Amino acid sequence: MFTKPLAILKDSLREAWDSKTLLVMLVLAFLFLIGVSSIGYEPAPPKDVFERYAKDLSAPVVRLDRGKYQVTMMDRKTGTVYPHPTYTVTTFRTLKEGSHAATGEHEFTIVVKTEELKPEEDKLPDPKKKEGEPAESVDIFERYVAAFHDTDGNMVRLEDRKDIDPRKWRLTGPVTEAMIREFFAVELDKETQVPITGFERLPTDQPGERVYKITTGPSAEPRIWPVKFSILFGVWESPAPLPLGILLYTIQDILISWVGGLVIILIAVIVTSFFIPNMLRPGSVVMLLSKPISRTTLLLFKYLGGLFFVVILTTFVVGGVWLITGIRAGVWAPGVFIVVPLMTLSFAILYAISTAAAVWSRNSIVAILVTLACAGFLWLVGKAEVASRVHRVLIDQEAALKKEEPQYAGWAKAAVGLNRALPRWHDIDVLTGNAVAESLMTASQQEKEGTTSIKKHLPSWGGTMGVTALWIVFFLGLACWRFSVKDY
Amino acid sequence: MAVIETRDLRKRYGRVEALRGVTLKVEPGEVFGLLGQNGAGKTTLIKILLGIVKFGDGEATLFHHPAGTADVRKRVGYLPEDHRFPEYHSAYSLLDYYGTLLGMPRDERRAKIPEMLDQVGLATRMHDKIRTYSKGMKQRTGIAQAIFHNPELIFLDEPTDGVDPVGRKEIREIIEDRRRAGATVFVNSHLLGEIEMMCDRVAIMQKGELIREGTVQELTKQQGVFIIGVSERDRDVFPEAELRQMGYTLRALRDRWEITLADGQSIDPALDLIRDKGLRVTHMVEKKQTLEDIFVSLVEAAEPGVEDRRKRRLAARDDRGRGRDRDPYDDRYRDDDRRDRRRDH
Repeated sequence: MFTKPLAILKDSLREAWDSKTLLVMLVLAFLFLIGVSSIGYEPAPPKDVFERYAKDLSAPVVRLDRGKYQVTMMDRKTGTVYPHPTYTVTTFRTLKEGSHAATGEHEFTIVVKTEELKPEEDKLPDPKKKEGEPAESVDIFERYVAAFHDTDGNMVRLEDRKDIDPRKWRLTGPVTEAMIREFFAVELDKETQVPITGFERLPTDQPGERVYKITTGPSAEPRIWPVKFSILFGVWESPAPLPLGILLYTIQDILISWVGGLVIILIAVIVTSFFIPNMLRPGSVVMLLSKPISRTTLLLFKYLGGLFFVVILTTFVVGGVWLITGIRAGVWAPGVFIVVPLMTLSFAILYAISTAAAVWSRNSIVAILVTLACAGFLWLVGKAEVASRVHRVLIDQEAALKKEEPQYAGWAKAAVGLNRALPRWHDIDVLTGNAVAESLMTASQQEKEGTTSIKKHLPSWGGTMGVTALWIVFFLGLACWRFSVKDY
Repeated sequence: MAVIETRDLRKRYGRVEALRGVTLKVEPGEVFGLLGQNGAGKTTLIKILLGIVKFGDGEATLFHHPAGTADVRKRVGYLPEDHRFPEYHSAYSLLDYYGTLLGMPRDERRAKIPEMLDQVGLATRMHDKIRTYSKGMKQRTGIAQAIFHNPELIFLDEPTDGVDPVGRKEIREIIEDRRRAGATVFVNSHLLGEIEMMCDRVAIMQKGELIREGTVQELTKQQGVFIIGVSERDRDVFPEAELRQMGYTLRALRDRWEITLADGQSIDPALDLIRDKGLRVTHMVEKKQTLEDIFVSLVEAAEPGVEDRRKRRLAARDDRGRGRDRDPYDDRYRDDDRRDRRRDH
């Protein structure tokens, strides 16, 4: 039943192979993979990681609502930084080595230096203070810990939400050791996803200083652990380590969006645009049309032959990147393979346009130009839709303040309408990027990188696939109709 | 039961009427030749029969089924004129690909392809890429792909185009083999001699119409024309004027005379006169019409001017040759000699 169509597919591959295009593409892909394999990932030493953790904690930032919201502690008018605690790792030792730096057990002491406010600096009166009693020294560190746990304004009461000067905060309850441990644990979890297995406050005679001994257990998620990366087998090294998941996402997003999304697809459009016109050359087409096979089957399977070309290439590239990433970075993320069907779909719409143009003109140059023009137009529509989304958010905010109905600009409405109606080429790219993010980053990393917030505006899978598939059917239908009625 | 049957078949390309009511029947086992000038509609007719071109009005059937259906095409082999095979194939892989499209099982393909390529003389090169083949080899590949699946009907459009004389002979033998195997062969060719040698029946097409059809014998039947030669010493006294007076039409050739009889007239009185004059007759053959003569005269009748152009060309050559000693190998005479030799044969 499928013998004849498979023969056409095989013939397309033979054509691609013989013309050396497939071979050249595979060689280029192989060179590209060598480039990818030259990227090295060196896990940062645990001591460095904990020191970096302490340094990050020392930033003049208040972490509200368990760190969901972070506010820089600075007077925006004068640029003066408000009082804030600083943290230093003073001792470190590894209790048990792991297979990976993230999976070992470690112990370190962290010194918290806090400023004790003088009574005259404490700008709000202590409600517990009785008349005539001296004001208590207020620990800024505790205020920051309290703000971390504050979800409803009970722990820290701000007179004015806009006024973030910690000297004006007023504690409404005691800050316990458990709360301080959780503060450290949550922040450490974000940084390394290493759990705190032991927590002890050590005595110190230094005023305004607290010392804690923290013991950590093995991390369940090495993607959080910071790594230093190098390219060209160590010729260039990154100055600062980055969490592995974020690093891999950044690299693969660039690889897939640019190398995959743009280079492979555009080259494939050019290479495959010769398949149909070659078949339709006078003297060639009559040979095929005289055989007992329908013209529609002939054209559709020639089209599938082009798609097969791209499937081979993308599988080779994505599979290679997956394998190299697994070996070099220890992250085996099978989710990246969804890029293969998504990129194929992205190419499928362009190749359907190319096929229709080729059947009409029997000229590969015309097919390339028409396809690239359509791709450019679809890309612009996609970008305009993204811009219109930003525009709508701003208009919505403004309208909410004014308590009016939002009034969107005409171009924004047109961009949304066009994007909904036309092949969702740009949306496929967005979905591809999201799929890569999901497979390579942890949930917290996605949140940190902002891809979680993108999800709220992520194009729907059904709409993207459905509308694009309908357009593919339309262009192929047009090509098949023309091919069926034309005399050769 | 006709293998090919068309009735009042018409096809129009815009303003051009490519076929103007073609009615044709080809019987099983026949080798049928279709002659015509370029643009006469021969290739269009074949393409309609194969479903490559859609026709306007009329009827066209192959094996009593509508022409161009997939079932019918399975029983047909086709060699187009100016074919262009995908050059990334070898002859073997091309036949394997086409065989798959024709629905041939793999084992059958593996058995028949080398055998067929051996038959057309490509056995030693069958795994080389077609791009390395000469024109003749490509034509042999074309012949092979048209017949390797044992079709009941074979369409050959200029089958000997670009093939050397030995190759032509081989191709004629292959066609003859197919005919003996029971296949019907439909040949388009400009090489009238080839058609004359290969075909049982011939049709002549001009401007989309069939203007003559019949067996080769019917078309080239005797027209009462004789070529007579006398010994060299008698040539100057050949009784041209007297023969003309007797009602014969004479045309002087290099060293012979072409004598055309009037209706009902015999050659015997002319021979008697020549002998009575004491001349020695050294050569006498009855001239037959060749297919080329028929073709040119029919085309001339349908499209006046063709023969005039030919005569003008000949006259121009005569002018160029005047004033020189007559060269026995002059093209004019070589043409006549060659034609005579073919007739003698």
